[in-house]
Amino acid sequence: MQNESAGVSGVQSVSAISLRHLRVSYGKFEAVKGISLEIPEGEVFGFIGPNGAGKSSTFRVLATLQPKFQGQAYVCGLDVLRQPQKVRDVMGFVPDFFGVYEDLTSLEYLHFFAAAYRIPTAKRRGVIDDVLTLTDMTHKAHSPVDGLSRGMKQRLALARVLLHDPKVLLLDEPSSGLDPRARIEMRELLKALREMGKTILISSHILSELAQLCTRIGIIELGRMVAEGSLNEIYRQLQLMRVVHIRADNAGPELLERVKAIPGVESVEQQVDRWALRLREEELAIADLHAGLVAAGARLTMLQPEAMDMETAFMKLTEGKTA
Amino acid sequence: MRIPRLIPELPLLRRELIELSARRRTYVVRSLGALVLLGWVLYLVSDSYKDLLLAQLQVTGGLGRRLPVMSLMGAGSLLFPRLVPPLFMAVQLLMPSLVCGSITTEKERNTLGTLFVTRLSPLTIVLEKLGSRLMPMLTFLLLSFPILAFVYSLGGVDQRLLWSTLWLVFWECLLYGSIGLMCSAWYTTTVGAFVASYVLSAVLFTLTRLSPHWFPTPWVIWQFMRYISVPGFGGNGLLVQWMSGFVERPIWVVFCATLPTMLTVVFCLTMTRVLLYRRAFVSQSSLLLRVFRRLDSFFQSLNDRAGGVQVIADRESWPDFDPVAWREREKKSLGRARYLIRMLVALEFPTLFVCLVAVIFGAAERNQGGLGALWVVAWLLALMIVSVKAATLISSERARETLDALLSTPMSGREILLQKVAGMRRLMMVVATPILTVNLSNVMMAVQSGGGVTVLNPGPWIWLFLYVVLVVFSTWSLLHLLAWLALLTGGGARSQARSVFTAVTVALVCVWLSVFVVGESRLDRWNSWNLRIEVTEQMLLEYQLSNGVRQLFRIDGALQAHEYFLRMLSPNQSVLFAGPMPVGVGFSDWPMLVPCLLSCVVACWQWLLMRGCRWFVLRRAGRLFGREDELGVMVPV
Repeated sequence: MQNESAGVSGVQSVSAISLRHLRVSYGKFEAVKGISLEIPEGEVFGFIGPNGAGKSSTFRVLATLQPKFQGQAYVCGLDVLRQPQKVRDVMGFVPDFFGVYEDLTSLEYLHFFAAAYRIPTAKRRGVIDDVLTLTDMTHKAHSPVDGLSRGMKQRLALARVLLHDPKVLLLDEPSSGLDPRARIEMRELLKALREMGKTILISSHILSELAQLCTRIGIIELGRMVAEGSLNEIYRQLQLMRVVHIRADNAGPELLERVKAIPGVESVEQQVDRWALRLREEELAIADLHAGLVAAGARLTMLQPEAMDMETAFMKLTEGKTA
Repeated sequence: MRIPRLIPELPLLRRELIELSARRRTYVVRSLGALVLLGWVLYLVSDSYKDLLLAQLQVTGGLGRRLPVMSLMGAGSLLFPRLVPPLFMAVQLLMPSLVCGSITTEKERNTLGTLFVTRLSPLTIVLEKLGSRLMPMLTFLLLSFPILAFVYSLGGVDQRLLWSTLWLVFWECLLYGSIGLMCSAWYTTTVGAFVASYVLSAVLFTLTRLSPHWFPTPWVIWQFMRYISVPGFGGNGLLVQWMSGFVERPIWVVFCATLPTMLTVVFCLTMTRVLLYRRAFVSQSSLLLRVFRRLDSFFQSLNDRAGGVQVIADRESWPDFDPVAWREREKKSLGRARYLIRMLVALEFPTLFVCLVAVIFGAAERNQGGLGALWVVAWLLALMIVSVKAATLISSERARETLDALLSTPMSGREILLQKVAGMRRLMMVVATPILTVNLSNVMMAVQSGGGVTVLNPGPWIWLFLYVVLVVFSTWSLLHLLAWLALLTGGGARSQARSVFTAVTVALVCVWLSVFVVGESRLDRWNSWNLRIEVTEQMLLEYQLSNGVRQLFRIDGALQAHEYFLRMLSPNQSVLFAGPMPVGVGFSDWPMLVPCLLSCVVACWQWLLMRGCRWFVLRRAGRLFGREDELGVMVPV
């Protein structure tokens, strides 16, 4: 049953988001099967999983939109079931699919939600100007919402959830359907929010993006968390190796042999204009690799660690089963 | 040897029927329909039995004797004419709603384009779509076959009449189905097609009532066919002359009389075929808004010529702390003052014209029929507009995926609902205005026709004033009751079409129950066989109390009570009671206290009903929105 003791509040003060044995069912179908999660304040947590894995159901629970579920869910120490109104005050939610009021302009749209978030009338104009500036939407303030591009609508949705300055942001696939430019802009915006100290729970299908943004990730499949932790922890857990691309002026068979002989280098793959080195990172850090390569006589023109091999991690962890 | 396929594969029809068979509500509706039909027949049989018993009493002059079973022979002639009209009525009511979504749902799901790239020809699509919706209606009608067989077995039903009836009911289905299909091809949303189908069906129905000779729908033909064999039936017109040959050449006569219907069906299907492509990818926008915008530019140009007079200027407005009500008021086409004023003008001018004519000429002739019909039309219009608007308050947000964003704000479900309904108030005022105009015209007619109202005698003026207050109050509370009822019944639906259909159906069922089941007391109940009765004060009091009790169970009970109140004030202006014409005596001296008290009680009762419905809806706000505002459902781990 519900814990109301000080112990719970002690945990709540640490975690911005806390889920314990969360189960969500729709009739006989169980979408979420006992997920537990602790996300400390200021963390950006990436939620990854195939379609139908239970991500959106988890988001809906935290956004107080799921009336029936088992387990416990807290946002900033507030019980989602018992204090939904208070939870809505400290949380901002961008759903995966959302519409906009086509009869409003961007400015009217934000005024609408400012009133819904009960921001005092005197402060409202300033707050709206601030969020428009932050999301770079000032030039679209008087444009009808219906005519905005998908990327602009996503930014407007972010502006909406920032109106009441929430501590926690729940972003369900904010980059889906965006073109590359809009995705990059969205990522930069999310980085800015991370710098502001917001706790962000974000789900996405674009794994490399999450890798650049998230401090921790959780991989969910068929309603169960199959892996959770920092990227390095997950790589170690899966025994995945870091790939580093190098290019050298004096690349040749001798240098290749010397590079292969560096302790910690698992293999070297010769590609058209570069070599791809697979490292055992616990044995050889990237900085040490650089020193090793120089010592081996390589005249480096490029050393580029591959950002993340999230796809591999994802494929290895999941079986491609969807609900 | 391969046997050639005689029946085409009909993939679209098959898919639609499979979908239909997978829905639980298909079976629920069928079962309910069968029960209603069976109940209706049982009622008819018992009622006819009573009539036969009374007829027997008339002959024998004795009481307490059982009617011999054999005397039921031939009762089919009594039952059949009462059983068939509900079948036609069911077709007229259900067929448009069944068909209107057939093409629009494909448009809403973006699947129409996929159908176009298959080898299905447009005509095949149209015919299979019609077939897919015709089939459920026909299976529904099939439920009545055993009952028709029973009635036929009682005797008294001409076999030619039976077969002709089946033929005509089938064409009635096709007629209303093809109209609905044409609307479905034209409109982009099911809601638009739904409203248009019913408006067109209502227009057709009205035309057949006004001029049956020019619009011989199957229903009209059936009525002619039924009465043509009645001795003494006569009439002018081609159709009557034509139908008089029914007795000798029934098949050809009925077939030829159905030809205009067939041509109408072919025309509607051809139009559907043409519109299917042309209107397939038209962007979804509010028709009303587009009409208003066109009107805007027209009025703007007129205004420029007139010197730029501006009654209501556009101004920038922002929500204070009622954003939902603000959006409904300021941003919706049915909320903005400037558009509502135009709507008011469009509704009020014809109403005012008819009322003025009635007041000037009608009062002198003591004829209130026209105004009564106008009042019913105004109320039906108000019922439709308020029910549709209220039913879509939540489902439109759900359909446009704007609900989650709204629900994740700190506004409670109760607040959102209250603001939504508050945003509808202007619209309610607009639709209430023609209704109240008719009511006020009735008052003026009461003044004109005498009824003891004179300038020198202030007593009756107080009653009239009280009547006006009660009517305004009851209209306000009934419109709110309709809005809350529509929110309750249509608010939880996933799609707009379903919410509209549910809410309008519930509202119409309430009206139907009020009119046909609860009904009105008849003053002549005590003596059915006398055509003239003397009305005593005791009799009238009992009648009033009996009606008062009935009005508590009618959705329009308060309005009925107020009308009765006004009639008592001015008894000369209309027929007072249903049934054989009674002879009223001494009404001018009748105290107004009883009808006034009854009027007040029923008005208060209706207000309480409205408040109860409001309370219930607000209590269920969380469930309607699909979230919990307070303590949610806690399931132990």
